[in-house]
Amino acid sequence: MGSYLVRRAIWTIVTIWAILTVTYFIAYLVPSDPARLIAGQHASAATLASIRRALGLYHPLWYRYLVYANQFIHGNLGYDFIMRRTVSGMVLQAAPYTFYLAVVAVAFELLIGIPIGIIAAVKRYSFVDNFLRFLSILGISMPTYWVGSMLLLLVGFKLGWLPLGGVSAPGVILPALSVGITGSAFYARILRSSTLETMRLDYVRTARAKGAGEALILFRHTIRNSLIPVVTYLGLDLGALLGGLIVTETIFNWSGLGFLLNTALGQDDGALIMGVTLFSASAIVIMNFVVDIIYAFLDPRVSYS
Amino acid sequence: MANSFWKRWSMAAAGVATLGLTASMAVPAVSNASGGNTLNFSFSSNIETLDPTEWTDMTSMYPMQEIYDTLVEYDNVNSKIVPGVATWKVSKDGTVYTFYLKKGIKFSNGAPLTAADVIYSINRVTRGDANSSGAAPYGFAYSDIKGYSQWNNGGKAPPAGMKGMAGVTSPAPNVVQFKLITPQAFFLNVMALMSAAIVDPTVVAKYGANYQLHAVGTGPYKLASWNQGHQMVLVPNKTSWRYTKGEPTVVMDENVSPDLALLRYEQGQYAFDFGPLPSEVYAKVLSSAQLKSQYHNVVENGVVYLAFNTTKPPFNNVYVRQAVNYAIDKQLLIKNITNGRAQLMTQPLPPGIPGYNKAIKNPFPYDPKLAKALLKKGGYKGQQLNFIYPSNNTDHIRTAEMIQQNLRAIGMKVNLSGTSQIGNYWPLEDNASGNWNIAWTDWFQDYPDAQDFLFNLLAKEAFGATNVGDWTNPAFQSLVSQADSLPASENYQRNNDYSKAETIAVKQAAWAYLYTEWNDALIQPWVKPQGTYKDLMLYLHPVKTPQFQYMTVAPH
Repeated sequence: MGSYLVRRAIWTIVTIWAILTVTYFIAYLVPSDPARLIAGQHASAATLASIRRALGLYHPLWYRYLVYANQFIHGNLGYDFIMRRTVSGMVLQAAPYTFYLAVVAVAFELLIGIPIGIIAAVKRYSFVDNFLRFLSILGISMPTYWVGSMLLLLVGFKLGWLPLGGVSAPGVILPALSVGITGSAFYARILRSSTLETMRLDYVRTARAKGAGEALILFRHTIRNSLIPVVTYLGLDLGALLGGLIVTETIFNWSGLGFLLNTALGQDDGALIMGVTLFSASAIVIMNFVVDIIYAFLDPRVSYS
Repeated sequence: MANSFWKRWSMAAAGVATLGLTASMAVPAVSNASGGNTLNFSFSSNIETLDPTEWTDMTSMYPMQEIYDTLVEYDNVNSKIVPGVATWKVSKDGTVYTFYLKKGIKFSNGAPLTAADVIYSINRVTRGDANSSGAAPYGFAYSDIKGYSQWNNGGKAPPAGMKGMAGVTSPAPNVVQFKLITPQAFFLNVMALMSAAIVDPTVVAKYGANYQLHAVGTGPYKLASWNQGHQMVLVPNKTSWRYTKGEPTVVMDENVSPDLALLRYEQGQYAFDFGPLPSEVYAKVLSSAQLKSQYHNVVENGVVYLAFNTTKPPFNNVYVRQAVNYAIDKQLLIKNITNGRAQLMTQPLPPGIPGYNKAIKNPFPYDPKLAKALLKKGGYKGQQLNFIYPSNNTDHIRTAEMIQQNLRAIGMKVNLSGTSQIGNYWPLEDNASGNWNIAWTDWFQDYPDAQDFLFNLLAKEAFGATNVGDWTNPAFQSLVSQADSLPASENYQRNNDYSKAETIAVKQAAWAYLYTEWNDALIQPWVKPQGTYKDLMLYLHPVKTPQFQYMTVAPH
């Protein structure tokens, strides 16, 4: 067990280091000059030189990479001279918004996806099933940015029921719903097929034989076991959503990590691109590590050697 | 048993709800306060700074102009320099400026404005280590003050023991004197820039690197809150000498996309949609009678042009440069790219700048045949040319493509290479080895003086920086140097020299001249000017940002 922990921990660190290295060099391979971005178009050559010196831009790339890596080990993502703020400050400010949106979005996905999946399975091969399956294909095929823009235009603008973008408690509904509508289709399809499988199993037949009611059979025996693949997918899905919903957050002006990343990309802000990417990636890697450990404790079938 | 089963389901639901609730509590709220005497609007980018040593951009100027004062400023009639917190006198030779501070002016924290504050502020912005990223972007604007180069120390910390620039002194209480090494006709203009905004030294000392979150000035507004990247709120500064009764509160949202901003404007949440409006927004304005009636514009003091790399063939040849000028269908460009919201550029200066030569009228009409002949005369041998442009905006991409087509029609092989944005034109600094031939460029004034265009964009001294193409011409250079060294009292002669220099830059086709754009805005009918100010200058001033203190919200 101990060696398993150590091995997993080492791999986690190696993964984070690889992410750091790859993003650093990609961010700096893009032709971009921080001094020019800071000083603006009107700056004189002398001002540019002064800024380059202050930022250490005259040092070779490998040296700057080591400086950055050293900062990162100490939990410092650096200072963003374009936004004039610390990168960690901005990332930590944005992360709760993304977390909030991700949780509500997943709730919508489940709220929409689970009933559809169950109904489709119970009424399999009927008109209702076909109709719901058609809806779920539609849901998967519709791009989030289109659904988002339509919701914004209809509910936010024409009807005026919910805020037109921005961060607020009611403001989460539309972005979460647009993720929910498109994302729920996956859940519906997974749940439908796993429910169909479970319904054929022996213990369901036994329950029916002992005279349990159909509702109890469905909720107690069938669905609980059919939910296992849903829960597995949920973990993956939540992880992806926590990385930031670039498109959704941008459309709704939801100032989470995705929105921040979009801003950073738009202004060639290397420090911020690095910071958001590293934060999201590290969060996912570390979460995976924690999940693996918990799994190892809970499931005796996981091998430690 | 059935009971415990349903209990578990409901507990799971409660768990999810609790998680959601916790998450929602972790989210700091951004106020959506509107209504009452409040003006809401948004920027598509973030407000970069409130610190004069970091200032470079127009967006930051919106709040900075309201929070700070400068010694002098622009009026609302024809953008002439008028007293701000000080009146002034200039010596006959134009090298000594003496400012007399008006009495009773206070910072928003109650501290009185003194001559020492003015001296401190100008020394702060000219230091070589003005902020954590080195010299202030606009520090060089004050390089004609005596003692600047010693104090700035080549962009490093000042030499030990030095207290400030030798040329800035206070000969009497409430008097500040600036001695220049040479007459500088536009000195008052640079003293009206936001980099010359007057700060309170005690506040700077107290907050250090976090100064900008606590910025204090003598202007009509004070900073109420700033959730960086989201929203800034300015409230009336009642201790200000220029406080106007009934000043509205100003709420500025940051990073709002143009689409969303227009929707919020149409819904009445926003008082303004400030431009320059992107062409897709303008297209929506044109399709709505209501929006059209709320649309306003002015011609900007700026230019859009193509710079040529004149350090190597083929653009070291004047005929090739002229050929490009004749080859581009500028009227079509104006029509297609800006929806007609621009006017033809005929010379390096835009029409709003003194020195603009009215005698020059469309020197390069669209004439592909003539262009072809000139190209041949210039000895262009069909080499592949590299055209750099900022590809961060669809209008720029379309412009580059249209120009590429125009040039292809006269037999030029042009390869488009998009760079993310114009602030990022670093390959242009070393032109001889740089792999570029043509570059899309624009320039918006720092101040309404010909020097800001002709010297900064075309003089030898600006090689490797703002003179993108390293174009130079001896006669042009000597006219501009001569005009630059004259005092403001000789403005008639100066502008004559600049006009003559313009003729040369046009004949020599220093650039491919494209157009001068409009600045525009949507303004709600319920936003009213108050007091003596009645016109558009309050909202769309050629130099200043909107002056919210003179506006008021009518019941609607």
